[in-house]
Amino acid sequence: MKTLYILLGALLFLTACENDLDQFPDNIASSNSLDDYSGVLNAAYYYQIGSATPLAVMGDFRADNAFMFEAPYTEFDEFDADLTVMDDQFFGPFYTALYKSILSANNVIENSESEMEVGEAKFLRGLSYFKLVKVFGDVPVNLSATPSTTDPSILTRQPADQVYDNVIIPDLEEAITTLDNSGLSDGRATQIAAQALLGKVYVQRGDFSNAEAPLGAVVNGAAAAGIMLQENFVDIFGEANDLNAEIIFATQMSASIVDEYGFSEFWSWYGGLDTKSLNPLEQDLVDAFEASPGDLRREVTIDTSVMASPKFPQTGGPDHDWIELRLGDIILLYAETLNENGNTAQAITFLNQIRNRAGLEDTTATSQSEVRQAIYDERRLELAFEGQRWFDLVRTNTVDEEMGQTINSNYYLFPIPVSEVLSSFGEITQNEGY
Amino acid sequence: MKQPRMKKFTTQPGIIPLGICLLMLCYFVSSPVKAAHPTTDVIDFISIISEATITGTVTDNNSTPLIGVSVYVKGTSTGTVTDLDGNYSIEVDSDQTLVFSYTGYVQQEIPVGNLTSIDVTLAEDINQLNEVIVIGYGTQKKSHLTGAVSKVTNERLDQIPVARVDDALAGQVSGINIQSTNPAAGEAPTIRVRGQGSISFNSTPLVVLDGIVVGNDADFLSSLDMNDVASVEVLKDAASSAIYGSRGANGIIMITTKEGKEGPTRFDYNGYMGMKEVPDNDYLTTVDDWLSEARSYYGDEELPDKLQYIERVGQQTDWQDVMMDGGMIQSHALSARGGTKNTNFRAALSYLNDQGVLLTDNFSKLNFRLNLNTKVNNHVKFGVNLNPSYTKQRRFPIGVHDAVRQAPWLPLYIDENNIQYLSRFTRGGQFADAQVGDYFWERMFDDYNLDNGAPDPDGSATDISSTSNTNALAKVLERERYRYQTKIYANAFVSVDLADGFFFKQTVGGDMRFTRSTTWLGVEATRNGARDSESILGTSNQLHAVSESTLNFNKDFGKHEISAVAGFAYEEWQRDFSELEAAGYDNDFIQTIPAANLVGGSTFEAEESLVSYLSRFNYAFDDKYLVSLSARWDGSSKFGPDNKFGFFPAISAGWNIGREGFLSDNTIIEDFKLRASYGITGSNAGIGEYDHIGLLSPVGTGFGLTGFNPSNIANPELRWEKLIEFNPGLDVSVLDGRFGLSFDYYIRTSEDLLLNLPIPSVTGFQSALVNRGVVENRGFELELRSRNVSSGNFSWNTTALFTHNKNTLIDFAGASGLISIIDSKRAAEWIALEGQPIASFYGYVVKEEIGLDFIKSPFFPVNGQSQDIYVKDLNGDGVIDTDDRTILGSPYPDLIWSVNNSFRLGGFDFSFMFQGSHGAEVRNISSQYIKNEFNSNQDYSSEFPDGDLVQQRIFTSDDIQNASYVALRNLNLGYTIPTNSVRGIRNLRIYLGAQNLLYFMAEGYEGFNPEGIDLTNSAERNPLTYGYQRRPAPIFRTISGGVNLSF
Repeated sequence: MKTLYILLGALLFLTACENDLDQFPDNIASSNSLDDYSGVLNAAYYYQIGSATPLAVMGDFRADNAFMFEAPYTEFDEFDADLTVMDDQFFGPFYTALYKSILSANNVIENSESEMEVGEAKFLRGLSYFKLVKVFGDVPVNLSATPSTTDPSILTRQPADQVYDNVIIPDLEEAITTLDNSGLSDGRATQIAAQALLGKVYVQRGDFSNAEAPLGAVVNGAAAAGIMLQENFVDIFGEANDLNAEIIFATQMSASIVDEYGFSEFWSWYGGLDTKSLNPLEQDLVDAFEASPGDLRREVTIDTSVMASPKFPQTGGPDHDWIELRLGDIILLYAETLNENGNTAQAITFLNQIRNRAGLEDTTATSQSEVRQAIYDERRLELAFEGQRWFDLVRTNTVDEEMGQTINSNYYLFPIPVSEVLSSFGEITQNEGY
Repeated sequence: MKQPRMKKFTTQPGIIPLGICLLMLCYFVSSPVKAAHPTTDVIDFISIISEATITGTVTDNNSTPLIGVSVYVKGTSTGTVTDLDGNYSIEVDSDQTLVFSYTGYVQQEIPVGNLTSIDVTLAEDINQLNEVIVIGYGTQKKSHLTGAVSKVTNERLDQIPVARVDDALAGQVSGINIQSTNPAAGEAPTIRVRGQGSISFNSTPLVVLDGIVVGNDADFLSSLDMNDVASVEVLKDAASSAIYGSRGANGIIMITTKEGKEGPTRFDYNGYMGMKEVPDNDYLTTVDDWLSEARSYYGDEELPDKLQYIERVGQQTDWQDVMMDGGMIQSHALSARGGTKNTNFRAALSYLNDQGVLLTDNFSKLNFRLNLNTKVNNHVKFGVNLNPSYTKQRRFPIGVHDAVRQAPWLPLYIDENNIQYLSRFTRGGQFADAQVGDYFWERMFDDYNLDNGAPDPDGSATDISSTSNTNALAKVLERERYRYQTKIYANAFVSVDLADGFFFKQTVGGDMRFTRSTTWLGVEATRNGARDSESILGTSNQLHAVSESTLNFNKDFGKHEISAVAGFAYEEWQRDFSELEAAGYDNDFIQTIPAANLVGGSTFEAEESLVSYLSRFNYAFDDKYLVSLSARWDGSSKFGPDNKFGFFPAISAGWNIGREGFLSDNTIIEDFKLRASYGITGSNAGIGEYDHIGLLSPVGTGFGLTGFNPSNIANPELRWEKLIEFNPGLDVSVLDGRFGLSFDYYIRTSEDLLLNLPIPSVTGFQSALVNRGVVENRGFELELRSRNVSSGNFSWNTTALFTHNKNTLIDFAGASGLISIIDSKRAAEWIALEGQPIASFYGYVVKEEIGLDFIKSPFFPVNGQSQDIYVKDLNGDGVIDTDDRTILGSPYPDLIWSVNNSFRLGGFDFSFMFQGSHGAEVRNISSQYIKNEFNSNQDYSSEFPDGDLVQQRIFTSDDIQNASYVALRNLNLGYTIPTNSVRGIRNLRIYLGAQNLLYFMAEGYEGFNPEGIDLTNSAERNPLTYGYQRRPAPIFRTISGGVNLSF
């Protein structure tokens, strides 16, 4: 009988214990308890950080502005299949970060009741896909906040043109209609940023007729939004000038944010602070500045005594924002667009705005093709070490000419991370040549 | 967000208050029972039968007195036990026979006749069929065992000069593979019982210490002292381990510690000291050998500039000597034990220090233990075990491949002589301020003008550096990685006899672990100097509490023997972790973490609980027919609402044919037992506490605002990994137990495997935790025991163990062919293909080397080897492409074995064990580093015509090397000094020990440790990419001397 009591006591104890099987973390919320999406939107911004350094390396080290010293980083200067060794360092983190940003944006777009939040999310999603398409060409597309992990339909790489037509352009157009410019001072997405990006997207596609309107809107609406060219070129860059008047949109960086990728940041690559490339500056860029005597941008952009770029100085390092869109870039794109659309005269005035700020005389180019080349050259000097050069070369189809070698066009794009090909059992295909 | 906080233990609907209630309940229950059952069941040993008194001493083969041997008159209940000096005195009739019986020793019967004094030497029973085996929640006679359980008694294990209990167990038990995957000081070996079942997580067996589960990891074995261990049982088959239900799938290691014994207090001291060294190895070349090879290649030609320069530098640094500097190990253990009739105790204190064979690795351990048992009255027993311990470990801060790959021409430090090569101009004056006494970097030798005999300011002369990194010595000495652990293990039990054969046992216990890890990277620790300096402080705590209540029933009804147990257990874990990180120190003077330099931090806390109902029923009829049934229900908080509970049943049966009538006249067979078992166990190891819930993780943004994002994909379907095993076996012993054999065959199938499946990151996630796949491990274990010679003062025993296991991925639910890599920079591949082991090395088969004439600079750097190698066109299509890849091997051994011989001659004893492993391969990628394969000088030249017929070595069979080995694992030679004359000393023995005195590696293996496997990061720990080798510490040899002293 007493045994029975013990057993009864024991059973009581057990029933009490079973409630303990529902353990839930004390200090972490579950994802289905969300009712405020501003934090998720912040995550969509945050993940853009992971794309900055890879873009810097792809944009300048792949091109003729900078080079790597140590193997296997030197693969950036060789145009063959071995570039895949850089997956872990660059392509993998870049790819993953952007799809994480996209997932966060999808979550906001699907669930948030705030129009502003949805607008910002659309801008960020458009920006993410734009970066992906520029780097990889065709890419898989996920527009859902809860993608199926087993559905192969989201794995198939969509043709880049379709990504532009169905995702990037509609997202940016919607962002333009939804957003205003109130977020400029905080570094958030704005209407003018969406216009600038949309223009840049059209230019990237060579669609100058569609590019003119949004770029014109930026150039003409800049002053009203408080955007203007900095008087001194040097005042655009570096932590001290973060969110200056020329910045339309920059990914906000801060030393207090732990970068989940841990590799050297873009400013240290540019500054020759990483031993994989202590003297990254290519002579070719030095020569380009030599050909532009009196250029005030020279000492801001290159330092031939250490063969590196001081544009983002070591002091303030991890606090330097990554500039995604600035007025100088947009003005040059606008000039290019006007020129391509036959309005060479007006193009020249815009080109000269940039030249004059750099302490240079007006351009001597007059014909459409001369002006085209002048704008290309100006872009190089204006935007060196901002992650633009390689993508400009590819866009303008001047890779071989500018790089001084014949490069298989397979290598205009970068390799899809091998881990993606493997984990999708080949459903996600590798780019040709890799 | 809520503030992180630690839950107060007392606020839990927890264990301690309920445990106390139960204890009180037991007390009330016990009182009336006591009245109902007077003390008739206590055997009165002092009954007098006749007038003749026999006296004598019982000793073992070492002449060590045996205490507590039961001496009784055959066929009666008259008996006594030997005292502390092994003496006994008993009164018997001359026509009677005395029986001397002692657990673990062969029973002896001696007719009394006219003798008045009988001294007996008991031989150890190597078959030990009558010994008692500890199984989960109880014990069982070995002769009644129906599952696969192996037992090791600690006879000389505490004399093996190793720091960890698991290291000492290598080769001692069949079916268990204890592999020195990284034998640095204090590091755990890898333990597998019957192969790798899980495809995602480690398959380390569950460790149970004195009945309390201490975890699915080897962590606790680092702080336990082997001197405190009485025996270790390994539960191998599912039927034996199913009583541990959800955690039994990887086998159970049950450790029982030594207890006190009745008698005056006896002190034991065991101490040893040993020297450790790494045997010489020709993996690293010397500058001289290298240059002479180069000279014979270049013949009459002048050596290339780089080699001339290396020759001129004239330095010979042996990086093996520098980095593997040997070490000392010492251990001192003092214990006291004793007790009265009702209360006994054992208390022990031990200290161990193991310097490790690497340059800075070091491990020390301080351990205290108290075991106390007392009989409150004839019905109530009470006991406590208490074991606080402290360990301190300095870990070797970098991979061994990285430590020894530096060029042999590089001096360690700048001195007055070699400073002439220091190039102050190179790399924009990076080394302008270097001075005598600084570490010498390879880069400091660059830009040397051979003609002028001085560094060249133009920076265009001869370079010989092949790395921009700092000196390897700086990488080791300027980094400090410490790990401090304080652990407290405690348990208390009360056991109450309730009624005829019934008793109730309540245990409350658990373990606490406090771990502090510190890392310091000094300002010279990396090539980036002060910019990389950092200090990291991590603390992690784990509190694990257990309450177990069991009702037990043991009774014989004539020929029927029943032993049954039913009970429940509740376990709870609270874990927390926090880390602070500071970077950017200017100097090494202050290494604390100041607020100003704080760059990061993280915290984590979690709770887990497990509720279990368990039961087992053992039945034996006439010692011949044996049946065991067990069942356990486990509920774990780690799984989704509908899958919290799992049911783990088992059945096993045995037939002692040897006891059948038809064999009773037979003089050859003593015992012959057939047995078979079938059971289901589970595993929830490896997955996180909250993986079934979709959680948010915080991310920072530059707006100064926190963002958050789902950190995992919720999977409410998440459930137990299940293991089903069928295990027939037999135990035979012949010729009075002179030869014995145990054989087990098993098929274990693991299902619903928890898999962290890599998924395309277009989903926003990189992996998802799912239940998927079936893995089979199938094999046999054979144990042979022989008492070759057993005469007077000479004995020779041999034990041989053989284990074969074959691992097969049966079903991967559509993921068959999954290729995994560890490091996309060196993307060597593994494949998980159905029909093959879960991890198979995948790649190309080597055909031949590229001729040196096609290598850009064949003899630079020193120890260089070409990156590429010709591979076979396996499908014969004339093209080398991915279709030419094939399976190149697997990391699992086919056969592991050990043979142990022990001899005794007079006061001398000698034992040695050979141990081997065959059939495993390892992906030894260290040549990539040590042989500088990535160096561009080792690329093929532009004239090489066959660029499309070669592959990088890391993708080929060249790196897949035979990991088989044969080792003289242990050796022990002792002499027991006669001490009859010395007052107060009971026993004095001195011994010499050795580990790995001989170690044979397979042909084709190039490196320092064929057992070595990298398990540092999660990709390496993933079983799908098992068998990667570059960092592990080397195999070493130890020679030690020690003393056992009892007084």
